[in-house]
Amino acid sequence: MTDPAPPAVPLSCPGGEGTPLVATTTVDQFLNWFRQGSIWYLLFATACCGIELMQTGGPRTDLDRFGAVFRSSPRQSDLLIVAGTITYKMADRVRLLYAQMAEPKYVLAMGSCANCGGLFQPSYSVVPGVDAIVPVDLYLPGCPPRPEALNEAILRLQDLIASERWADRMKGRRRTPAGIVIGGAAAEA
Amino acid sequence: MNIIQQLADWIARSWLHVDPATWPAMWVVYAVMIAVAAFVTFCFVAIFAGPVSWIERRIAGRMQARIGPNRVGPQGVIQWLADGLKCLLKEDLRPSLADKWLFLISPYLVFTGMFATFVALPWGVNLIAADLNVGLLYLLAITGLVVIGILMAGWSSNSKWALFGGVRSTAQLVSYEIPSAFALMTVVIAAGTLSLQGIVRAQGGWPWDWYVFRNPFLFAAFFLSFTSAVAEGNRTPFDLPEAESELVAGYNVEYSGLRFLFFLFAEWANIYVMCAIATACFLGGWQIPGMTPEQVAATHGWANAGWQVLSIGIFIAKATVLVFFVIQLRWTLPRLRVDQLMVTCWKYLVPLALVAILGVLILMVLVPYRSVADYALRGVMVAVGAAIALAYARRIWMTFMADRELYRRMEGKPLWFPPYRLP
Amino acid sequence: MGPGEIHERLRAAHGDAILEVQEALLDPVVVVKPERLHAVARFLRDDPALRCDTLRLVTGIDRPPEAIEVVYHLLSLTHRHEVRLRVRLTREDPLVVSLQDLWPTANWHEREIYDLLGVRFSGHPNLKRLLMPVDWVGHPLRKDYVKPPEYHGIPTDRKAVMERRVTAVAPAMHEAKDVPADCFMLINMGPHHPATHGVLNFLLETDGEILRRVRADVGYLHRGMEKIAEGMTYASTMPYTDRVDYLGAMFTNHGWALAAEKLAGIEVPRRAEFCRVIASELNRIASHQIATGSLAMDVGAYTPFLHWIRERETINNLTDRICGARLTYNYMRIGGVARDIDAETIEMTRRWLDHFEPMIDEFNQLISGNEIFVRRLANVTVISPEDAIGYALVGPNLRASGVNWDIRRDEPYSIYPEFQFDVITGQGWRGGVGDAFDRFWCRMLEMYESVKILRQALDRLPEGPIRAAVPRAFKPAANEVYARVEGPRGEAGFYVVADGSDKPYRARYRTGSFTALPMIERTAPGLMLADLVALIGSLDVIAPEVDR
Repeated sequence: MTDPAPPAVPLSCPGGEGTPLVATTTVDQFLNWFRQGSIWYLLFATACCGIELMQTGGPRTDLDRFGAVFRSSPRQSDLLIVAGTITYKMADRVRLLYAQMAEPKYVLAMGSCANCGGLFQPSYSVVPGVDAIVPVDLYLPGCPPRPEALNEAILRLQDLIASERWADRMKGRRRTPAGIVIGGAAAEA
Repeated sequence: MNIIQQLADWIARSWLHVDPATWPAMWVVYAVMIAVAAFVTFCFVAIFAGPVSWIERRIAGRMQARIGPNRVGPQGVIQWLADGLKCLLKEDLRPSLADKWLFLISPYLVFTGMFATFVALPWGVNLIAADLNVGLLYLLAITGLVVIGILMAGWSSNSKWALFGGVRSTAQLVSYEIPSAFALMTVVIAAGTLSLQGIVRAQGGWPWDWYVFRNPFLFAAFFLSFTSAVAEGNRTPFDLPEAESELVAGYNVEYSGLRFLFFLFAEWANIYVMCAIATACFLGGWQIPGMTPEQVAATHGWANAGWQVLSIGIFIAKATVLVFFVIQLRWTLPRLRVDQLMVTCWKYLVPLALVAILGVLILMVLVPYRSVADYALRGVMVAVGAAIALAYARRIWMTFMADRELYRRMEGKPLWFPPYRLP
Repeated sequence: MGPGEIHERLRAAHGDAILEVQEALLDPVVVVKPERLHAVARFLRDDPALRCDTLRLVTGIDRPPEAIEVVYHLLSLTHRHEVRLRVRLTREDPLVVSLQDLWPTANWHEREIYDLLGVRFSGHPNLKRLLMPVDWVGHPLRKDYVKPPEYHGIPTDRKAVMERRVTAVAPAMHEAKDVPADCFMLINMGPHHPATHGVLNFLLETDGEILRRVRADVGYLHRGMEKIAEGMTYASTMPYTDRVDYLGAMFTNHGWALAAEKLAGIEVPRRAEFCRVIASELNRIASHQIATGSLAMDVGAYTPFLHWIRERETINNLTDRICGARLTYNYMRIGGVARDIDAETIEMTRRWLDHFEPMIDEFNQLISGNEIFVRRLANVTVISPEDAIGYALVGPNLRASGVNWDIRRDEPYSIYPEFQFDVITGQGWRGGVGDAFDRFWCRMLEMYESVKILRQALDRLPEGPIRAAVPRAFKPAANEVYARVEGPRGEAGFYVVADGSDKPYRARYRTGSFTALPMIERTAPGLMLADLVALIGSLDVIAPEVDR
């Protein structure tokens, strides 16, 4: 029984799927191939999406296949998966965790609450989207997203890593989901 | 025979056309050769540490009913290269309030303490980088650098969680040195020498010549030494210093990038070292069943090379079996609390190790070497050991077959999605 | 004792303190004078015929413009009856005596009411904000509360966020602080910490490894669900109840549906009740799997957790077939359930149960009998029955301490009386009664019981409609009700005040983890750090239940 081929959904960047925004050299491609094979994510979960994150690390959808293991310390992680609702009380801590991570670092907003506040937008204590606090590289919709969706997000992150230059990233230049390169020397808090 | 010095002398004579005994700048050549040797050892260690990490993740995956890394390279074999290169490419962070120099050098201390042990391991007949006549003492002593390194890392990070990890680790490592040394002392008593090549040569190729099966006290000493070695390596069930669920990565909580990689590297290589020491001391090392080292030394050319390679293979195979066992221990057992750990060391392992030494001493006097009583004891211990090994292998085989049966039964049923293929 | 007798007895003892007895409500409430509250409460606790040993719930209700009410739900475990008290306070300066010296569990309830409504409790040792940040202005649950436009520079409106998304974060710089030399080591555990089961923060004062004091700092996941419920219709609040306890979402759904059905007097068809029980017990197994698995992981054994994750995947498949979701089900509806369970799903569930029961044995073989595991948990953090009742622990935590109380049997709801199952109480299997191992083992045995109930339910599932006829515009008459179900974390209670409109006037969620956390503060002194982790894991606390 074969699965039908998944529909081609383009990366949201000009030029469509796989088009690198900057011209990467062979050295970059070499480095990126290794970097994308070893994405260590921070074990950070606030709410229900955290359970789906754990299930995704579990036997059926094993994120470890891609080299993605969880680390408990932000200093050792590359990817901050914001899984769950962020409240105002928690916002400073999330910012601190992000600041403690070492470059190159990525943020995946997992679930509706991290994307935009989700169904808690009417609430008085919920931050409407974690991109009010940290720069987000990938948005993953779902409430909670299925493990297959989180898996796809990791693969998209691998594509993102493959399409960028390590040196740019270290200088702080990152690409928004709309394809615009931001940050760099002029980027301050 | 100091191969490095011989090589350096040869270079001095052939390339530089000077006499090694009298040339005043000879120390430069020696220094360069030592650096080259260190680099070669480093690469050698990397080839052991890296794949151990891959093996661990695959075994952990298999035990946890999942797969483990299988994308980076065929079946994921170069996953460790990806991890290493990625850590190299990370920003080097140092907390501003951390003690600068201690923070920077502690990973290197830990790494040195571990990697310096590789030079004294007996890889094969005549294959040992530094055949020290105090080899075992050197190994136990140099691994003390690891203790200092971890304490330094924990303290200098200026983080309370790191301090917890560092202090716990120091207490643990320092305490478990004692039963470890006592248990290895039994082997030294039996062999009459501290030199590792000497200890291996005092054993033989067949299981009944191994020290582990010589008498019940040496058998007990093997398990004591192995337990202490697992504790020395900060592995579960003794992994308090880096207890993830309590201490948020313990002593290396503030480390990132390359420095963190050195800690991990040291841990994986340390697994290998502790298994190698146990193999050399208790499991007969590189001894080939059926050939004595004198017989091997009598052969020449390709035959000699062949026997040497076989002995290396035997050593590595035995050590790898023990590595599998250490990895399985980590993923099966919970961890001990710190006071339980200390109680285990001081109230159980140390007295038992002392009893083992006493027992070995008494048996050495009472039971002459190669007498009927000696062979009787050996036979009994081999039977016990074989029974344990067979029971262990049988349990694993039965689980494997039950899994296969389960997959066969559930194949194609909608509940079992997707079918997990055994690797 | 019935409510009439209770009120008679109360009137006989403290007749002058009673302002009114609201007998028309579904759950009758006695309104007392605020200055006599303490005496009345003490009488209710100590009188042998009334013996209200637990304070189940304290709720604050804002009634602009005149009053703020505080409602107390008292439960007697010995006599199996409930008494409810109400005090009315002025809105300008609401002040009432604290009951935390009678029932220690009142401590946190009163802090929350202070935080969200501004009611002050005299005699409270630590009246500070609990759920909101310390520098928050205003009391959110008041009816006239307005959301501030931003907090610490973060806008509160999504559109404002989208215009100004963050592109970089400055490095975090810390100041070196001088710590006095004579104090204990102050460590911050959380809110991001692998062992705290969500975002809970504990401030530990330790003397090396031994803890001297633990203070819990919660509110990092306070999402204002009770306020949201006041702005949503009864049916729209159902998905929010999923998120109150995401591991036991079926139970919170069930509780909310029960509350609404009691308010409107709706009877649920038989098939719907059976579907509810089947879905609930599957959820209970799934929740206990995470609870026991993560306890094992906290103690250091990583593998059992992953085995349970594997088994849980099948339960997720089954619930996916039943209601379309894996975690936050939104399966129950007022009057029944959303979708029917088809025959193939029933067959799959039966086959899975046959596969699963040996899996529990396999798990026990792997970890439950392991010497190290038992040593880590046996005789560690023993909670006495008096403490458990005083701090209002519920569920497996309460039963492990030896108190035989299960809402499915003692305050029956749905069709649970028709099933034959045992209520597991702690026996001190490996140590004292009420230690961490007892709590763990209660959960393991409850999994067997759930399998039993599931088999009975699957065999007896009748035909019929899955939902009662509920009016489109669901407007129950003005009334109050407290509906509770026995979830995996204990009592999931829903106190709903209806005012005749289509939205609840006040919805208050009573959760097991909220009352379990102060137990940690109480038990922690003298423990080692590793034991604290075992305690948190064995109490099975979940952050959203604490913070809502």
